[in-house]
Amino acid sequence: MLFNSIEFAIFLPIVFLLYWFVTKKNIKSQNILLLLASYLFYGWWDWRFLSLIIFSSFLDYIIGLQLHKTEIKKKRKALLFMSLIVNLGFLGVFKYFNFFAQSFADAFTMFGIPFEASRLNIILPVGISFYTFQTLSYSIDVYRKKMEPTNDIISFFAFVSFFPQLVAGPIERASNLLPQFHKKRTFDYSAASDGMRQILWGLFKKIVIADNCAVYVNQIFENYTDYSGSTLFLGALLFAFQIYGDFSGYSDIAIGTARLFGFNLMKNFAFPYFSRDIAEFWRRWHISLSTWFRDYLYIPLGGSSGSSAKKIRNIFIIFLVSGFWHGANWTFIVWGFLNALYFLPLMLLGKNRKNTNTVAEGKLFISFKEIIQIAITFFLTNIAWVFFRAENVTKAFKYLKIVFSKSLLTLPDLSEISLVILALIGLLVVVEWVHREREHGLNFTNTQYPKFIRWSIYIGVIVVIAVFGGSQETFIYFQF
Amino acid sequence: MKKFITHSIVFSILAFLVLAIMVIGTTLFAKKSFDYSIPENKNILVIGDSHTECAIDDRILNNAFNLSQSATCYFYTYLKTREVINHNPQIDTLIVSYSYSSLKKIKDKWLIGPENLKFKIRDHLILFNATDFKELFLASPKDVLVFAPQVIAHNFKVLRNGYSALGGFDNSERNNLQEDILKLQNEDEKNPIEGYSKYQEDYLLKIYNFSQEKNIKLILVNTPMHAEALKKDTKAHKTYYCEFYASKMPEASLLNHTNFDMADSGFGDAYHLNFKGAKIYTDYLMKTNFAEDANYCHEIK
Repeated sequence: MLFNSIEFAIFLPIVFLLYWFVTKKNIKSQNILLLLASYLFYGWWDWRFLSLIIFSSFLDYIIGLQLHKTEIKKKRKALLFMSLIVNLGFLGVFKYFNFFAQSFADAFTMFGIPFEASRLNIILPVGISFYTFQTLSYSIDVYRKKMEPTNDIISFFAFVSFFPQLVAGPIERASNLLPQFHKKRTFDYSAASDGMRQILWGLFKKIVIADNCAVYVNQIFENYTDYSGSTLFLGALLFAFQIYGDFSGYSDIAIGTARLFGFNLMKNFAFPYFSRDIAEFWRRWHISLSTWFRDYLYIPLGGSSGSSAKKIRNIFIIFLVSGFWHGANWTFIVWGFLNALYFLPLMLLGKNRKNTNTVAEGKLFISFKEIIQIAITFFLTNIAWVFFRAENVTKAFKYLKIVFSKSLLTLPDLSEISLVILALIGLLVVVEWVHREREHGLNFTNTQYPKFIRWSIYIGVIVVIAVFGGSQETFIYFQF
Repeated sequence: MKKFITHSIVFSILAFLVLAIMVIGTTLFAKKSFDYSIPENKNILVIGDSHTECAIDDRILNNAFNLSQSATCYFYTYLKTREVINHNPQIDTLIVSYSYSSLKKIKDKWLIGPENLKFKIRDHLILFNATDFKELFLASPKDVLVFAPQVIAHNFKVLRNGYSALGGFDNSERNNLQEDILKLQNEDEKNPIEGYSKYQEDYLLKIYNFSQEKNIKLILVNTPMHAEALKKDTKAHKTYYCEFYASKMPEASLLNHTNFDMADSGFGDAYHLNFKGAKIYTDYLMKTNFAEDANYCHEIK
């Protein structure tokens, strides 16, 4: 079920009313309701893959309990490995098998050895990378004794499949989300109202920004040889807004929806395009994944301690794995590699934590220096996005070759691009700039605006969504 | 909780009302301001889908006004027919696209599929009356609700562009014939008949009845097709097509020019003419004065 669908608009109020009126008195029945609703939400797409989630949940539930029962190091390690192998095994088969098979075949062929790789005719279960990482965080945290395992199977299953964030995150840590299933939830008017505002802002970003940009991005990327460098550069800019609108829009809707049910999910985006350097960008973009890799991969590898060679190795590992997490294609690996290259000088010079606050904090306007820093960071991310979006690495290089040709200095072909869309992107930037120190673009908590003004703004956003909404597109991150 | 639910309901109603008022307000304004008149010398209205859009050049047949648009079902064709004829009494002849695919079930997608409805409703809402809206809403309630608000901005575009927003001759330079032929030759089977569209049949008959009521000559036209494309329709389907015409629209003429002798260079693809073909075909129509000279249906009988 898509967030931007009529089905979800019917589903959500029904679950909400049942949750707060019918199952209100009992946490267990609330959790059962959430579990059933989550399975319905997921099964709406393809019920067959529910079995994967159920199996994965059951395995990690049992492993968690077994880890708690034993102090024998070898046995604990074996249990953790079992969780890692099974969960990552599913991911490997469904997501990476064909990629590895093809890459092996290509490598053999390159050395003149004909090799026919067999391929699996399978589809990728939606959200597998997200819920796999979520259940893994539980097994690892229990193994590390950072948290107690749960005995409550319903809570655990509901935690793994919690519908607001099941298919595209934020990837929750068990230590944050699971305890919330054990506690009594009370309805909080201001949290729920702000949740609704966040949903509305997420829908604006998805339906207006991302879905409209998608039309031009598809046109430009699929026919890139027909356009000038300046138009291709514009295409890359539009993709930057498409992917931001799509993914951060999804996260906003997920976080807002969870708040309606009394849950707090972690922040996933913090206005990343206002970052002054790449390190700041990565603290603000897909935060739940970056911190997951930091906690479960980067720090165990040694993090930023040790020799320079070790630091460099760790940076490349984390960015390459992050790229590979996004998809079984060399384009994502090159994207990760580029980001590692961007990040490396900052880390080696000890400047990666220079910009930890919000840009122009407490001020409306920004200094010239900060404008330049933001522009350079945005430009670098755009170059990397070309690899992320392109069909293959060769096409990405060809695309960039045209971008950096003389035709970059010509006027872009705006004939097929609606100026209204560019104006709406401008609106997004302005609203997010004004609210960059808040949780989301439409957060009016503790502001002085009278109700009439606030409601007019919300209705204005609804009108913009209804009038300028693009075609109902699926979310980009569903494929990851 | 009570406050939250009350606020949510009040807010939803308010948002719905604002949207409804904006849709109705801008549509009424556009309806009133739209210039429905066509040049006085145009007494032939050409209407339909991509077949007539690509085939009849109204710059050559200069007493004709081509308002065809690709992927237009008979529902919208009927609305255009009704509004243009009601505002332009000089029209005495109506040419409507009636191809072998016109009645097929698959054409329902042109009315109720979201891909098409999104674009068609926003272009054509100024032509709707309350009954038309109700009928479309009943046919596809979800998509009408989702896409109707898009007319708020689009009504102004229709006003600015006039009739060209609703269709016109497509001076197509397309050259996809060889690609299409290869594709058709690789498909061994004939097009299956998956039933017929009730919507298409009903609205075609509405067009027929309207033309009868207004005493306007109705000519159904099946524009030239490439021989490879022609092979794909079964005899049973062609019989249904002909019988529908003969039994339900006895007063109309049918120009079945699918077998028209057209060189490959006249085709944009296997089903449509390009500008060269349109010139040849329009010249032919002028020369024969729309004589019912080539009706495959007679052969079937």
